[in-house]
Amino acid sequence: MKLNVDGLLVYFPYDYIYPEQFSYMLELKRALDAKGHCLLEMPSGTGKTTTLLSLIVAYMKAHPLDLTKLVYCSRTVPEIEKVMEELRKLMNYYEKEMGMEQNILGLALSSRKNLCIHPSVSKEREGKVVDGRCYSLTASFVRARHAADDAVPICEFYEGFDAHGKEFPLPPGVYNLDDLKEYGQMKRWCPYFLARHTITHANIVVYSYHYLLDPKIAEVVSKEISKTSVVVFDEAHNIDNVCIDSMSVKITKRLLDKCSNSITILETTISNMKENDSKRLEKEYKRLVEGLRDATIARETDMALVNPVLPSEILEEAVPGTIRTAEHFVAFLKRVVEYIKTRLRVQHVVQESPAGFLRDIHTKVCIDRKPLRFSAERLASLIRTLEISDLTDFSPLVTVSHFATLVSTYTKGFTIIIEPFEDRAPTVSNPILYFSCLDSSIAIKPVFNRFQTVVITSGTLSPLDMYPKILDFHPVIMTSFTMTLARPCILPMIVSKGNDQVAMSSRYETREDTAVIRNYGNLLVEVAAAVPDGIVCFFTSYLYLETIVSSWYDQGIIDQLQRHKLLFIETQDAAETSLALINYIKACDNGRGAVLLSVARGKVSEGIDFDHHLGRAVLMFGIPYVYTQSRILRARLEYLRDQFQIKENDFLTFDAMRHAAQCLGRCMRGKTDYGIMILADKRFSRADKRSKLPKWIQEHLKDTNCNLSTEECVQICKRWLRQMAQPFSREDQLGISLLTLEQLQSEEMQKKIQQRAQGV
Amino acid sequence: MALLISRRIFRPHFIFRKMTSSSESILLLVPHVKLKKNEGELYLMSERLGWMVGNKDSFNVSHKYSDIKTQKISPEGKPKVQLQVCLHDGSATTFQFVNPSGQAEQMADRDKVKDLLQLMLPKFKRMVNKDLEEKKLFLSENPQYRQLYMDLVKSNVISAEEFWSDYATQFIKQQQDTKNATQQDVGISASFLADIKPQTDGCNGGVRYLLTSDVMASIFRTYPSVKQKHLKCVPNKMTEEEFWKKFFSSHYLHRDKNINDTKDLFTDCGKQDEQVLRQDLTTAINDPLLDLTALNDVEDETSGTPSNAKINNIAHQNMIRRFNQHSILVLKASEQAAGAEPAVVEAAPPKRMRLQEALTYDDLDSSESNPNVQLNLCRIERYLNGPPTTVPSQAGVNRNGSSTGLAVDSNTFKSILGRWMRGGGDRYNPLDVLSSATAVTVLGELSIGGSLMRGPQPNSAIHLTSELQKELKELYVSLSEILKHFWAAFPPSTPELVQKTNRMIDALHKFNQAKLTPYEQKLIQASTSSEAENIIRPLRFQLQAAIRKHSQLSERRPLPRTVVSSM
Repeated sequence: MKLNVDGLLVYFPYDYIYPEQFSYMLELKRALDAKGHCLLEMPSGTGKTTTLLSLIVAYMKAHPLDLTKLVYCSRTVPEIEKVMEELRKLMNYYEKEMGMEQNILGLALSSRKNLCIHPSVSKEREGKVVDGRCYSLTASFVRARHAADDAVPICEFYEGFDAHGKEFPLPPGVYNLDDLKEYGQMKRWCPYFLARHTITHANIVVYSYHYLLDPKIAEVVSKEISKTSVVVFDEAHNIDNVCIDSMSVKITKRLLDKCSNSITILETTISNMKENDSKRLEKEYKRLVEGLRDATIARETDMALVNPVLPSEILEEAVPGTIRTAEHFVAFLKRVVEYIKTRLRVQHVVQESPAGFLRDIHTKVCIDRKPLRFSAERLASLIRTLEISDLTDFSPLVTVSHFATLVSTYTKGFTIIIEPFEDRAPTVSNPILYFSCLDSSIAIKPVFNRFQTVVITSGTLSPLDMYPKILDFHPVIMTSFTMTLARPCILPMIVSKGNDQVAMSSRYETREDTAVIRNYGNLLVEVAAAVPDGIVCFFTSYLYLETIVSSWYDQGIIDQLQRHKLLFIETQDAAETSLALINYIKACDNGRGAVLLSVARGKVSEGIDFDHHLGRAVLMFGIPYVYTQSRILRARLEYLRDQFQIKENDFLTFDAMRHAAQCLGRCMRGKTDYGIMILADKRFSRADKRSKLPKWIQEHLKDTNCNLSTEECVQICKRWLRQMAQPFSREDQLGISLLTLEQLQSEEMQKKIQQRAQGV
Repeated sequence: MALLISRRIFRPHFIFRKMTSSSESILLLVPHVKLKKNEGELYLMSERLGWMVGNKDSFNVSHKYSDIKTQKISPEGKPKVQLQVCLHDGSATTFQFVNPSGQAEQMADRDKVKDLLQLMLPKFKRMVNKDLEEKKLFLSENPQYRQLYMDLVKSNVISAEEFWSDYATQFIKQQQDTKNATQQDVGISASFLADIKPQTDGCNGGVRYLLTSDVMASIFRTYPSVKQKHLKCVPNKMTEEEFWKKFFSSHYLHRDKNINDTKDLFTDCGKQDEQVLRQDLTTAINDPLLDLTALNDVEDETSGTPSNAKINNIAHQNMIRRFNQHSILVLKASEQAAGAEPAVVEAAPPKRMRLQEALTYDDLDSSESNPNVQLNLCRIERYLNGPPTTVPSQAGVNRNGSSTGLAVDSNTFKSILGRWMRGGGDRYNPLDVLSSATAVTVLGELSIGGSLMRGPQPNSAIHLTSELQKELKELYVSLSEILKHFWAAFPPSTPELVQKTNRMIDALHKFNQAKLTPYEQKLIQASTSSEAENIIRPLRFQLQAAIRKHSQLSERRPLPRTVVSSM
């Protein structure tokens, strides 16, 4: 249908629309008009993606000069592909309605692992290996060698792309990962480099967060994206953690040992080269003297190693004299590695600031800040000069050089923690150095500064006011939409006690209590007996899941459970879990029904949807607090308190509740779906927890359902399921939670939508 | 077998029947038998058993042996000595033996009855021909088939087998459906291992496991490796009992046990299972949306909470893996049972389809697409290739039913269409559709007195009595049924089809003799012969057409018809 959104003609590829989708468009349009950032929460399963795409594409068509590009960031590869398919659907609709081809180019970008079509390289399963092998076939010196000697292997697809791909831009259309590969096969061009090349002139780019947030990658991939772009972060409830992860480094003893090996290789290579081809080393030296940061930088294939520091922080200076010659630099690296090794030889936990670290390294091994800062840059240059084609072995050394550069660049917002052993196993010596980013705004700041509109959206962003604080930005629009429903298709409940009236809680003091564990088990067994098809359970941590499962086995609860449904459990092995998941779905599909035990913050909770019969009930056993004893977390909490005036408890609860909400939201997709959400912890009913649930869940959480026992809960479930099992047709929804064009245009509805927008 | 001693009041069948004929010989007479607190005598006769109160001469209760399903007796040591007969209709009658000379005698009495009944019952065991019953049920539920059956089979037009195999199509379909439905096996309960509960026998600290054949079957189906082991070891190396003893002490039952216990008999089974799992890991993960390993675009080494993997309890992890494995195997086993063939890893649906499926919102899309009617084709090749070119229609109405004929037809159509179009260039001119001559004739036909405007002809069927009308209808139905099968056999390209046409022709002849002619006679009696002929003519016409066709066929191809018919 064609919509009028505040004066903008929007093509929406469906015949009906949810009211909240229209409201969402209104808000989004305002943000685009204002050229400001916005924060929008809309329930999962209400068609966020298609709404976003239709409005932004319409806006781009209407104001081609104000808005040139859409950069859509999603979390996982399947999500990226889903966005592309939504886009395809939209463009097909445009073509059908307007009767002509649309001049819009949309493409998805992913890592080489997902795009490579080289016959042998693409067989590799590990991303790093693919990257390394690709580099060894496409680096400029390899190609130069090939020109001299045909026996040196190169990648024909890259050659094809290099020869022709740049002159002929990709024709307009929607290119998903598979389409790119197909196109690449047809033209014999490398799809990965084709996609990277096309990013600069594509209208819509869909890729993962890292391409924008991780400075190591953003520098390479997203450098040339124009300012007049809108950036969308979908499923952004975890964005602060992505930011932090991308700037943090972890160094273990093993990593350092590997570093030493790499340094030895470097040394021998240098001495070899000195004998054979000393000219090249001299050339590099000269270049560094002149401060020309890589004249050859334009060669995109050589960008395998990059600087971990944000673009604005890179100094346009010459590399300092102490590390200019190759031998000096290697010796320098050796000293750094040895120094870190001595630092790891501690008996107790050390926590210090980057400044303290720099002071210490200066006094102990006389290393200045400046050369440290250039170490990532210098290592990249050296590896290029030495023409080392196999990069996979050097990744530990690269990590250390990143650490050196980061620690000398940022003095604020970071901390260094050295732990000699893990808390849970104090006897096993396992020293680790954490260089941890505490401030999530550091990584995302350039994004906010550079692009005119950044949209942060998710199904679960509550409480909304937390994000502007921790990401340090000022949104022009901040809205949470609820879900209009024709029938109460979600049933959130808080179960606080078992049938024996013992309180249920995953509180540290009681979590090992057999009564609590048994009550959790009984709750699950009774729910499994009452609810059809699939049931998904989330535990607070993997450790907790394991202990509970083993106690359940001893208590015979597992046996009882198996009488009702098949049992599948998430493991720490991703492949095994996938297999369990596939079988879980099989069991749900063929009618046996199954229970999946899973972990909040785990991969399942973040990436898999359990729509319709795959998740008729979600149980959240306990509040998924992060492991609070972790020193990194403590440091971050302190930092948040000092810098942003966020109370420790507030942040912890916020973090726990967003993960809980994320887990609960897994079971909803669309308004024809329905699901039970059981929060099994006494503490959920407290106001501070409850109020942090997303609005759309809170609305349906009745006061009477906040303090239930197992028995009461099962009774309510049974009654509700009977109600939900009644036939539900479009007519029931129309006018309330689903609108036709006429209904949408009616004055009454417009008024309602206006009210809803203002009421927020 | 334990006798069900219940306080329930049985619904006895008080069929007061006179001793019908004295020819019934009494095989056994047992006095002192109580039925519902009345003492009487129990008679076992050649065809039934009866019980009468002491001084009467008619049976209060009498059951035919053929009605009796089973008999049950009370267990030893019970104060009452009883015998119960259960009937097919679900009711039962209990007799108590109260011989005053003591329990031993009572038992002897009861055993005599029991032995005799044991002898008699199998003889009268009703041959519950399931098939026959089904057919009976079908006929009673479908009156039109019942009529057909009466007309065709009872009058010996066709044989009963033929009727059931060819004519009663609906019945055949039903049978197939039920066959398909019964093919679905019952899956395996996920908790079958839990059903094997150890029980202490109390005295010497031993533990007893109760193993039923069901559980055994479940174990074999779920764990094929155990089945192999069983085949290998029993009875060569150990007895059945030893095998299961070992099984119970193995890790299969105690999932917290470590697999790598070398002493365990089932260690290699565990390893085998492990291998299957490993293989599945590489082959079975075919859904791009569920592959967690490929979820993240950029693998970050810093991810994850401080690695707590290493210090976790290995035993717990193993247990969890075994739970998953167990569920997967149970699922597999029931799949195999359903599909009969080993579960082939089904081809993954195309990725794009999977994605699109994942993102459609049913309620946003308008679903006004017309619901598709399913085409039920019994002969697909005919649907795809069009009618066979040599299909001869009845009585040669369409004489050029050949491929060239079709071509001619289509050419004529084309030329006619072309003529229509030619009239006004691109536009079609309605004036050119008909030639004026044709138009005039048609008009003439349509005006009063024309052949198309004649009033309804006097309908002879009006004069028929309703009974005759009904009979006529039935005749039509039966004839068209036979004819349907006759024409369906054309062209008779295979010997079977030739045989079938021959059989049908025989049936038609029989039909003519057994049905049509008598009916005609009846009609003549009821009215005049010319009217009768009028009424019967369409039937005759159809019959003749078939016979003519057949004779043409047999002339052209001298078929060994006599041989066939003599068979």
